[in-house]
Amino acid sequence: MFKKRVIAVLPVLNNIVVQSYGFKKYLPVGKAEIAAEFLNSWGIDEIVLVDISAGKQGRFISPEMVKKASSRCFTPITAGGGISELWQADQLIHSGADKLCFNRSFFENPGFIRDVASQYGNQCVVVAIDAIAENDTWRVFDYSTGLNRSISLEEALKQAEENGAGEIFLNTVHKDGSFTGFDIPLFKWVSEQVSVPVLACGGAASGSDFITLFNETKVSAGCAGNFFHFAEHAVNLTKQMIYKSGLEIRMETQASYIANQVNLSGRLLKKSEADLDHLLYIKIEKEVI
Amino acid sequence: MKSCKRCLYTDYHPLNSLIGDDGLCSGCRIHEEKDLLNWEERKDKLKDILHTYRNKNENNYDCIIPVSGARDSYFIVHTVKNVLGMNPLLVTYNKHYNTAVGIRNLANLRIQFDCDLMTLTVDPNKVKKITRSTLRRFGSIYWHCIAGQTVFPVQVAVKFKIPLIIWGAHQGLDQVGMYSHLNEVEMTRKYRKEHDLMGYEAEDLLDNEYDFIREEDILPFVYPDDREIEQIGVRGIYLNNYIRWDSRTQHEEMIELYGYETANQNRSFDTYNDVDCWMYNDVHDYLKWLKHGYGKALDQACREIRLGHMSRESGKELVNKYMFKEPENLGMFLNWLGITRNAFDYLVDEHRNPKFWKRSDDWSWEYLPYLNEPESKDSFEVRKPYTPFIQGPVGKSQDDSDKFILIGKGK
Repeated sequence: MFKKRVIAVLPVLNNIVVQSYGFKKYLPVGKAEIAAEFLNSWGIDEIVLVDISAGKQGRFISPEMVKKASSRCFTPITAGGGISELWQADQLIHSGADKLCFNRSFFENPGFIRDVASQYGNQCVVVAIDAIAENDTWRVFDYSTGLNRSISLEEALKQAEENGAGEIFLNTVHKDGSFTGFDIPLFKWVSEQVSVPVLACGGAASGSDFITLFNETKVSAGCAGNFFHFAEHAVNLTKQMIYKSGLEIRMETQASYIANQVNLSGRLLKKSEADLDHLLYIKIEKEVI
Repeated sequence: MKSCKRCLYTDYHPLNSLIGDDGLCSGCRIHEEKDLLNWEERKDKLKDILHTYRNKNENNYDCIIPVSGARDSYFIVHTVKNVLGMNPLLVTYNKHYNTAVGIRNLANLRIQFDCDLMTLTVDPNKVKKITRSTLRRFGSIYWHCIAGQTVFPVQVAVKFKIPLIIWGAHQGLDQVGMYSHLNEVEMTRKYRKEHDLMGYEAEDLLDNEYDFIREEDILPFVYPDDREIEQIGVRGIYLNNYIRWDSRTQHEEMIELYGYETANQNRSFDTYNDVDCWMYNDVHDYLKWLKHGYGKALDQACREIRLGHMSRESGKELVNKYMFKEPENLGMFLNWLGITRNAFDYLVDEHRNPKFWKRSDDWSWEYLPYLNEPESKDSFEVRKPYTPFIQGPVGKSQDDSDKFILIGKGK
């Protein structure tokens, strides 16, 4: 069985990485290349870098930014945001993107992603779908209008696969920035609908959300954005929780945090005083002659 | 540039700022949490965290508090030690640009609170070498101060196996709303590199061609390895996630309780925050103006406006009063570093931000204003009109001097 992946999502607005809340409110975090550099050293498996304002402004994600980010990390980068022409895909691949992700261009021109797939292979094409909960079901959300698309989620997934999507990146609007865990019923259903890997996104707050996701659904990867920016070695801490629960994941960082404990929110706890004392010094008893 | 309708920031900010559809910047939006959150509950949360770090075998300190002879130090130690009953080890990086007031404040802090204090004084030759390089490369005379302040506590945490570091306010949260208070953001090396150190860690300064900075020069500023951080389980928390932060009121309380000394500042109306340094509200802030188009007075006015302690109008007035002032202590700095005014101007002109500075026809510099009028009006109310920051009693010490004091007794 393949190892489960932990993926960081870096939404970009006005050329800076942001925290996203409900697809509406954004908080400025910083430069993409610095985020990529540290996520890489913290042992992230992949990075999804998406310019969320590019499509609306008739641009596509800056190849310069992708280049800067990819020069500082070894993990695969999926770039997205406003890509609608093959030359743009070329530029991004040449700037170090390993995969490309498509949202609007997939819905508006599915033939385009077929072209990208035939040029670079299906493994390069990630279709990004934003699901939103509505009356006990899920609809497809259109970020550019703020309305739901008429296509059903089931149909969208089918079309994505038919047109050569190597992976489906499924984000959940109702969970975005909520820190209430992944939408398990959704991902359970979706991962059984399609044969390609599903990357689940939305609502993660700590390693325990990933554990639930991986145990209860067949998705290949869990994604998170906001909370990876909150604490030192947030990825290492998340991964050690997943690893300790018995799931198979990549553990290659020097600082594995295997010997450390975390609380329910995934924050580090103090090591036992005995352990720290042991690191401090050996007690020297008074010598009596 | 778009302006926030409440504070004086635009969407240009070195820490990045976003102005939403409602015309409010991310900093103002997050600041509103100060009046919405239940701070009693949040303080309990802090107590719970501190409780787990309290030493039971009395073999070590409970936590580390990074301090200086100014900015929030008294309030942090007061809160952590006297209010919450922890046993802290104080650590301080000697910033070399010390004023007599700063030296006295630090000495008084150690004495008033009965705390142990560890100081890192880096060889001035190394500091000067590094500062020549940072001034040339990215127009900063303060890199060594910030690098030292942010690394020494972590080095001590690792060396003495004290896993908790307690900081005051998180700058990114307070100024631009990088995080919500609810995110309970903690200290990271990532934030330090990107925002504190302007993208340059110590290793990035190594240079064999121009400044000849070698490994032994930067050693005091090198961050401990990930593995060391993990072994000890080092964690740095920020008090402003748990305590409603109001720097001015807090300082005034400390003046009252412990005789914290204030000092007039050349480029700011805030006579509390940076009284320990000859350079901060002077040469350093002048460089900030050249690089980013505005100075510390604007940051501090935004802080007061958001708290409802100043109107946008009086904020603007104060900014205009202080922002254009020439540095007063530049001579002191040039003397210390060993360069001429001409060389200094040549170096810093390289770093003037073209967004705010252009050469006019006679080759002098023309400033393009940072302050703008917002598109929409804000209905935010001023709760108490601005009154000048107070000037408390000034002390006198044996080593009082109008120069940088490298080592001083403070009594």
